[in-house]
Amino acid sequence: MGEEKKINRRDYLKYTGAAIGGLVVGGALGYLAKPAEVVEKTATVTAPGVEKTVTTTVTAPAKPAESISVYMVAEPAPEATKKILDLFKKKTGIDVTLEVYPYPTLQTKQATVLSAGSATPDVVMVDDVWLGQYYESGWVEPIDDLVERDKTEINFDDFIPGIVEGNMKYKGKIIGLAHLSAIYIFYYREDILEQFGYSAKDLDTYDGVYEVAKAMKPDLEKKNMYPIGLMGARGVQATCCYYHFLGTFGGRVYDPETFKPEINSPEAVEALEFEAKLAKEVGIPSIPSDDYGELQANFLNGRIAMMPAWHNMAPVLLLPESPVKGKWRGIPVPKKVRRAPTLGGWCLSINKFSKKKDAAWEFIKWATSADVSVYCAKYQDMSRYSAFADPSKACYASGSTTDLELAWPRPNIPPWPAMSDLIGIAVNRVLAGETTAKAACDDLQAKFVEILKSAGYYKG
Amino acid sequence: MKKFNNLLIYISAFLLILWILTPIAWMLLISLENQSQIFLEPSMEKFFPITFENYIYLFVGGTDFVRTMINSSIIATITSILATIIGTMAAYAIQRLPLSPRIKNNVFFWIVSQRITPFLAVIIPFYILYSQTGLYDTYYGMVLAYLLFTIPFTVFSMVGYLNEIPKEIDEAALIDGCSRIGILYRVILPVCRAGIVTVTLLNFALCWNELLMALILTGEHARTVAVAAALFLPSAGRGAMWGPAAAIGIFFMLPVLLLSVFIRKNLIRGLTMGIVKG
Amino acid sequence: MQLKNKEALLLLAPSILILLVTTIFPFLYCIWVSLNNIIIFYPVPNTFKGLQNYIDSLTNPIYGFWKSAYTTLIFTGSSILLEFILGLAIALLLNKEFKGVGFLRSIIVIPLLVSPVSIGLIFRLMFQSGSWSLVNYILKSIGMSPFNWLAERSLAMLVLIITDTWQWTPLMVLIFLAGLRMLPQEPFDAASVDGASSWQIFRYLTVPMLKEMMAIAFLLRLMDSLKTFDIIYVVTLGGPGEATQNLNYNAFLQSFVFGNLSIAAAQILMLTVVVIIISSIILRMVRR
Repeated sequence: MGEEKKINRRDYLKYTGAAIGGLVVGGALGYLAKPAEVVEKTATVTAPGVEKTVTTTVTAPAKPAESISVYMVAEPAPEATKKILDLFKKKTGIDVTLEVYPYPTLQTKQATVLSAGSATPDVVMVDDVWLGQYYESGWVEPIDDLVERDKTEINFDDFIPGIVEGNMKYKGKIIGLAHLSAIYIFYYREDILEQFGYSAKDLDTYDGVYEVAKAMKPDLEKKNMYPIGLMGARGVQATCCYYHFLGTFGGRVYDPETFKPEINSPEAVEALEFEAKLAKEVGIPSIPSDDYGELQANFLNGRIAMMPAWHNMAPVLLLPESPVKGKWRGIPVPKKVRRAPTLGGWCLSINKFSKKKDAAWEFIKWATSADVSVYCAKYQDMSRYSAFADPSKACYASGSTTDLELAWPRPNIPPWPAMSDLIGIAVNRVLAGETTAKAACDDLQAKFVEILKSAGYYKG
Repeated sequence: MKKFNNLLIYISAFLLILWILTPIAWMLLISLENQSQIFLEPSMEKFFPITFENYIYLFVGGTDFVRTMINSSIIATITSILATIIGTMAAYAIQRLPLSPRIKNNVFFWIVSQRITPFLAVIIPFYILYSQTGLYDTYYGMVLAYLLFTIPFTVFSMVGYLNEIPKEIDEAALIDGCSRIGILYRVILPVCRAGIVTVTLLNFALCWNELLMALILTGEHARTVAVAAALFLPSAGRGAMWGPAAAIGIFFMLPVLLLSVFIRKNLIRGLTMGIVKG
Repeated sequence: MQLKNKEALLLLAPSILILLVTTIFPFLYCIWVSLNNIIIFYPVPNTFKGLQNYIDSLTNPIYGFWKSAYTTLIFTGSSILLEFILGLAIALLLNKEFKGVGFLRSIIVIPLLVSPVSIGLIFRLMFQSGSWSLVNYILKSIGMSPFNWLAERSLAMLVLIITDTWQWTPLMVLIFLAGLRMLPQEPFDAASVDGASSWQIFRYLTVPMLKEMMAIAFLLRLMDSLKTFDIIYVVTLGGPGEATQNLNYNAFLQSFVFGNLSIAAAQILMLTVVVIIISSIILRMVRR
């Protein structure tokens, strides 16, 4: 008897659940559907001798508002852009669906949909190192003619030259308009250095940086602090950090003419050895697992006194509740053979398969315009001179613009992301003490030869 | 001896509770901290004052959080119920009916192999398939995709549970004039109740948590909570958004937690013993 | 009592239909890709490569097959073992009646219901280097020195195993618990009356009866664990170095960083075949 009851109750629950589920689905679908537009039409009916005005209400099919879909990377400026999308709609009448994804997710998602030749999204965001891949795969097209046509509207000279070359062009053609910028600068705690009697001029070269760090280390350690922080976690950041040292010591990944890899040149090895030395002797111990967020947090919470890092870490360090607000400055990166601030950044491009390229172009122009750039610059740095003009950025703005003009861009040939990943792994291993710099570089050299050969760049 | 046993039980229970709840409690604490507090050592300043800014961010920060919760609930519920129904029927057929064992094994293996293959292998053709047929970013599409791995799971589990039920029960019912489907409904179901409820709950959890498929096959409309949570992962220009990630983690658990408390009553209300006798 | 094929078909039909529609095409596509040379990112023309991709995966270390196979072995092996043992123990515990068991039974489900992303981030935060993370703080309070959890290969692997175990042990618990509850009561009563100890009951009664459940639980977890992606993505990103890159994650990198879909497809298919073989062996052993 109890059996029957239990069965019935369960059925009842199941059905109720299904009914509720159905209702919710129906409701949601209804909510999502667009209502048809109700339009009033006035018709004039003329009968012999009589003129009568009849007003009939006609329901016209909803006029499709032009709408486009945009993918951007999940970082402060794109998220801020989300909030002002209705300004764009007011200006052009175009509806924008802006989806933001974190870097690795964006990479996967865009690669998937573009490989499939999908018409959405209409606008894609291209990391500078993906430029080669996207162009060679036929996913984006050059927009030189569009830029030329709308030259005055765009105010092209407001874009910093280093960014134009590194983030917008591939093989001399303009692929997109630069949005976010990222450049290495050198952050340091003015107050701490002052205590020891140092100032910015002592940080002009990396040898100087090393001396300062060594001198400060014993006292800092007592306060649970460390002189230097770096990004060593396996990933794109470790590569960018090493790449900075590589350039500073006069090395390069490969010869731009022959594409012969030179990653185990004496300069390259020396650069890696120096980075490892910094990390080991005067660096915070967590470097091998520190990524962007960890390094930023380390500086933000006063655990490290100096770091070479992206200038777009700055806005967080300037927030009212930042413990280090007002205590730090950003200067151009120290030099050895030369100054080599790693360049990063994104541009917005039109998806080649999009069916709404005009609307897409309108969005791109708007999102990278001076007004929007200045707005976004409160959250993250952009690519125009005008975006750096804000006085609150004074403590690092000139460091950024100087470095942006010097910009040390990374390769953007299609095999690069794979090579970059390998560099990241190698650097990480060296920092973790698993292998020597020389061994790691030789290993990279062998791998790069193979990659560049099979990709058809290096002829052996 | 008895006392020692009891003590052991209580100690184990205590450790278990600690083990389960510590990360959850930590998540709750983090969700109530602001950016700088998160990185402090456990101390008074770390935990107080609490702030709700992470939760507020979920609702107004443009993550479309509420809609994703609704989406996930609908998709997971429909999928798990459908999977249970369809999968149990299939499991019963495989387990009970005297089909040729070779056929049964083949079908069984084919069904189960769907679970084994990582989605990665088929990510692009799936995307193509979905965008051509208009299933991209829809509930139907997601339910279908999730049925793909929940049905095998259901079949696999139910075959195991059904195995524990002696065939005599079936025979008895057949003699009484029950049809096969009747047997399934009236006899097997009640005995397997614990198994069925468990499987349904697990299917729900799997759909609720699934990330890769949802990432690729949804856009704005059918986005699930798992994808919304993924927004807080580290990106090249910023670190992970620890606070909101913790906040969404808390929300993530709540509805399903309520559901399972509700279901627990069924789980616990044991089974009828001695069905054959009675 | 003769088989009614029609009934069988009716019961099986929906499953088969759905799976057919959604899997045959992609699966065949996967096989096709693995035999060709599909590369995204470069304008390389497609050529038929036959089994070359398989051979390359097995012989050329740049594709990371053996290394990630080894990592998978360690990761999956350790976590499944842990989850199995803990799962069984906890299920036995929860099968008893004592004060508070109801509460335990409700909360046991919690780890399964938390998003892998959120819980991955929380574990990552708890295991951060530096003495401010929860785990290091606890270690410090009992006098040990903090570890650089995510920066050292074996420790990072340990963190992943802990995270995976935390999240998935309840799955095993639930499966075992349901199985335990479905066991007939008489043999146990009889054994108690005969004076058998708990251990004897466990060894000679519970285990044999649960044999099939155990195999199923084990295989289920095996299938899913081999596909682990989420927590690696969130907690270690495959690092440090390549220490925590399992086969699935490696294939992911091959696809979306190196752009070589064919190699990735070949590796995944090889993995699938191995798993099917292992599953059949285990099932056959148990079905006896």
